[in-house]
Amino acid sequence: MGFAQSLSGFSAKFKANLAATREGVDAETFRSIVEGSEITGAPGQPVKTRKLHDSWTQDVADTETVTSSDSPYATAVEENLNNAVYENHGPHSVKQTVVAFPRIVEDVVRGIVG
Amino acid sequence: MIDHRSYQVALRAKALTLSVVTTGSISLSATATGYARASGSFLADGFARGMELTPSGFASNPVDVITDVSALSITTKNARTVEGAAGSRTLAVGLPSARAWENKKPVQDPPIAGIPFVREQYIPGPPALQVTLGQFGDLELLPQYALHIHVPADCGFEAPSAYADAVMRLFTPRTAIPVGSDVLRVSDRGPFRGTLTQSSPGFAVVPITAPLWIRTPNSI
Repeated sequence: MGFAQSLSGFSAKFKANLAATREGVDAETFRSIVEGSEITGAPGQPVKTRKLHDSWTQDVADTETVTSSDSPYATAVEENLNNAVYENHGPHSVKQTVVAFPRIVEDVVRGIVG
Repeated sequence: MIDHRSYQVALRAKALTLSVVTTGSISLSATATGYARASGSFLADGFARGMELTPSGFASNPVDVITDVSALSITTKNARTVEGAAGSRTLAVGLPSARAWENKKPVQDPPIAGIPFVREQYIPGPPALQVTLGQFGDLELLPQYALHIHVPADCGFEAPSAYADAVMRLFTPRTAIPVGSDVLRVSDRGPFRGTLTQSSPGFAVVPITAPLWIRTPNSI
């Protein structure tokens, strides 16, 4: 195998790994915020009517991914503004996901490259 | 060693040192409706409606809430004893004295309308991660400390913004908070504040969160 061919193979593998990393990080970020994650410690969104849970969406563009909710009470739950009692899951999932984001990336990369 | 209890104690002690606004030591008088000065400006100092005011240097120093501010006068929620002008007096705003520490009922429950209060939350963060090898290898912990400043509704944005800015300055990125032989630090990504939103009836709330970082030896 010539140098050019090796370089081409490396480049293709690099691009594939990068795409897989992006896809994996997006998926784990969404899971952490919505369902909760053992990687970030996020509890996930409290579920009663599923309105808040189902309001979370993820828009993936070329250079950025936006994970958001249009629920009017998403902020109150995230910040735990009224010190509410939840039957399941809990507040602070976005914050937990943000501070532990490097761990998400590390975990996903480890899963791809071994 | 993992010690969330001590981290929270240290963070709370830091929060108690909060200084939002102060006149510094100047000549002030007490009026029947609040306080007055002959020169300078309470507005320029940053005092705003809805802040809890702590006087010092007067014969009587009642903690009260600001209901109106002009350059030369401050009106408080309650009437007070008149005292003539004298130097070495201070008006200051710090962490609200009504405090709902975590899992502890505030002294006034429910909160009294028109009086700011603060609620504390400690978020332990993701699982502890061993980041260096060997005996007593370092564990990395990423807790967060949140203060929710509740101010009277309809007092405008100035008071809650000033409280929030002061908290953010107190926990500015890379602030070191010693805890025993370890050092808790505010991470490079923080602190951050949420939007001012309606809270319980009669209050608006602004949440401020400081993300933290600490490495501590694994005790095994």
